[in-house]
Amino acid sequence: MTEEHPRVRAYMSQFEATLRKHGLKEWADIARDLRSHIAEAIDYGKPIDAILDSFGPPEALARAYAVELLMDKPSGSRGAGLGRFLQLLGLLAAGGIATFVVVFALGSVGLGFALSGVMLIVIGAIEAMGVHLPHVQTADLPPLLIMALGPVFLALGWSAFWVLSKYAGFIAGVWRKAAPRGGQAVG
Amino acid sequence: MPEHPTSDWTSQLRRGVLELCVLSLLRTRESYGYEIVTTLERFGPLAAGENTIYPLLRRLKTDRHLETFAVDSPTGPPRQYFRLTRIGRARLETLELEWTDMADAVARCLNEGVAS
Repeated sequence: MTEEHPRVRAYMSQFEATLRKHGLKEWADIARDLRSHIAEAIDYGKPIDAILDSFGPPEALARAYAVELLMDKPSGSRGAGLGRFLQLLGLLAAGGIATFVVVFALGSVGLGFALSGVMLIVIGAIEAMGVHLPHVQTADLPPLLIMALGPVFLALGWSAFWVLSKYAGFIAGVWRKAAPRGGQAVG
Repeated sequence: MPEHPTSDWTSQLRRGVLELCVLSLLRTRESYGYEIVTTLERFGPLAAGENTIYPLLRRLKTDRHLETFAVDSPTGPPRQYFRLTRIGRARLETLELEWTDMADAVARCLNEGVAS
């Protein structure tokens, strides 16, 4: 095997690091594929600079792999689907500051309201049984009203997650549209 | 090699049919990534860059529509050849039928527009 060209080595190093950052477990296989593709092009007499230029920046190519592999993977079980959703959110959040802010704002709102909803139901039920929890301020609201507020908060939390999933789908769609023209960093 | 100049609409359309075209290129013989990219460049609007085809090949492999085998090379790492699996051949037949239906429907729709 011949020595790897310094520019190829630098490109592959950045490419592999970005694949790992996106959580692609098969990053080593993908890197091996790409080295094979580079070798094929070299055999065809294509200059190394031209080969790497045709790939685009290593970060953009790694992201194209991530989008292709994460978007089309069947969700399988519910757990696997949730894991893939979170992985996709991480990928999208890494794409730009606006997306980062939206993901974390909606994620925080969703989580906050959902947990508050559960707590309101539990606290309302306990209060209804005549037990007053220490350090819990209920503003003298009737226990049944507290319990009734629980589902409302849960619905608000669920709505935030729903908007977040729609936003993730929209951004992923934008990326997928951008990917065929390739080579440009997106997000 | 520069990509074929295309509009945004053509780019989206191409993305949808590339899977069918790549599977079709591998229908009768195995091939490797660079050869697939250069072959598609002969088909004008189907010319997609390496940064589109290589991730697509990887996904088709992950989905078990393609399998790979290595061939030793004296000048570098082993070449990776792609060939259709049984699942991939079934996928190709399905996509061909869907494409034929779609192309036929579009043609009829365009004719309808001309006639009215």
